[in-house]
Amino acid sequence: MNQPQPKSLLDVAYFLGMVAVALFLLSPVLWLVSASFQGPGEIFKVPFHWIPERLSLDNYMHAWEVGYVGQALRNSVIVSVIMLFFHLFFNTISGYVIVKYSFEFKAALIIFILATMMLPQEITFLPVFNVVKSLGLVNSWLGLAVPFFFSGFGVFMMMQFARAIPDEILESARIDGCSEYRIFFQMALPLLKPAIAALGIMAFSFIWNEFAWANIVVLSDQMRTLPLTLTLLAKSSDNSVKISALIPASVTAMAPVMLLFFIFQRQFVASVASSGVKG
Amino acid sequence: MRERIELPGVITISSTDGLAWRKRKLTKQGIIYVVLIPTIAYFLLFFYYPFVTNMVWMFTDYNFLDRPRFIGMDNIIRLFHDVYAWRALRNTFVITVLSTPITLCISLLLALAVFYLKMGKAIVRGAIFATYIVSTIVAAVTFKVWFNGELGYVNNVLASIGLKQIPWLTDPFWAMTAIVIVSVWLLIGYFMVIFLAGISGIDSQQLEAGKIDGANTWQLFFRITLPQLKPIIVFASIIAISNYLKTYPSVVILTNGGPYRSTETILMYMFDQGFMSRNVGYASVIGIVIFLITMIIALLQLKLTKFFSE
Repeated sequence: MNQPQPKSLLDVAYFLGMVAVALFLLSPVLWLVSASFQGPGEIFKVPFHWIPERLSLDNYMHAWEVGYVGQALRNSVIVSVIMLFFHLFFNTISGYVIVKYSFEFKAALIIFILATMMLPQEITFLPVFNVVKSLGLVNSWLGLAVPFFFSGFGVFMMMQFARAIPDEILESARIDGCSEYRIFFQMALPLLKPAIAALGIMAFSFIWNEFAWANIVVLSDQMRTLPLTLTLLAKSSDNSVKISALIPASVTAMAPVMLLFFIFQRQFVASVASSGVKG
Repeated sequence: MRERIELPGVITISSTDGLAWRKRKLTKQGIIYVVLIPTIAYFLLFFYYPFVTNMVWMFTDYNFLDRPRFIGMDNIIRLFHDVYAWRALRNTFVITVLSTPITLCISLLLALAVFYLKMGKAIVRGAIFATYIVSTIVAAVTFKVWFNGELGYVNNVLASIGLKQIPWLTDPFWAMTAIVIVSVWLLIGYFMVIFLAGISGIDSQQLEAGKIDGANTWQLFFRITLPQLKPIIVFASIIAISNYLKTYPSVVILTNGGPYRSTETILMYMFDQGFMSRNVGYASVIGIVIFLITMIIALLQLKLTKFFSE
């Protein structure tokens, strides 16, 4: 909208100042990544070496041996995939059906679902433990994911986006003889892709970091997810040996989300901005 | 097929049409039932049933093994006499009351600073937002290593500029300070993006008009920008408050509630009572208290948004 203006020296200084602020805020992350690649003992050198003297993977090997990080990584990936699949599918198709079909007690159903957004989910975990136990899912991947298959927020968000689908498209597919299910999968689903991506980003960063429920439902060492393993390592990290396992384990836990963030930065920011500007 | 051959043309069309329409209505009902019955069942099983169960357990003695035993108001009376519960509530409020305004102020300032950037806006925004991508667990772990008494990075920096070392996680006051720092750091990036979206939506004509009328930058900010951001600030403070009231994993990692339970939060106390001490009935009472506090804040939100939108 504006003409590109020539950049003055002041603008450059302003930019550099803001880069410094951003680096300061990011310094714990930079410290963590740098420390994870340092050789034994180098982490505690004063002053801290922001660029490692030599790149070493010793800490990572140590973390894999002492902390069982590989196993935790596998569990976290499996649980996240299960959760994402059901969370995205269920919330999307429910939000779509609620908005696009007419049926009795629709308003009541919407209140029934959205009211659960008021409930802090953590307080339900005590009884939910019994539910999951009677389903035989305690200490299993499915059990770790099952309380998060639906969420009031997920249905609400997909309802908002499904509303924007023009009825004419669905109606014309109907006249062409498409089944209701095909209309959803072939017409509605592609149009809902951006919304599914936004919900997927939020859901993934939630489940990847989920601690409270995992801490309850996991009973054996083999089922631990990354947040549990990290917490366990952190609780016993009073000596330098444990710290040097803890740091690469943390980088491992952070890396997938960070990687996704760098690829889908725009969608990430948009998903947060859209969560904030709600009706 | 046979029908179509035997009947006259016009009727054929209308009758098959009617048939198709009826079939269509059936499949339409089909998808409604197929999708909504499992949805309702899920929300009943994982939200409504547990909540009602919580309400029932409040009045029982239950340990996950034996059958719940009705004990009347004992659990509720116990809460009023439980020093640890009150202390956990107080700690949670302290974290919330300190972290919320600090977080909102810093992120609003950052959003303004990023908004007026003339170059590299996306880079700076992305870099600051990246702090939000770091999980609570990883952030708490990093800061735990940073705040370590002897080996920690923060104390090394303090020492190198000639300041005294601080007993970050072993002194009640400094432990709380450390938790607030981590809590603030975790949400700055998130609210910066929220505020940036809000500032970008402000009517630029009003700002231009203000400038022409000779208002200076501060006047423009306090008279035009801030009032227009009010709904977003209210919204953001609700999100921040409900987040900070549920502070849990970060404290488990940083201090595990210590020293001397000076940083234990209410959610932590609930899980501790429910799953460690197996006082499930009592934990339910704490859960309902958390629920009531959240409800009161949600109602305040409604009142405030109404107040500010007028």
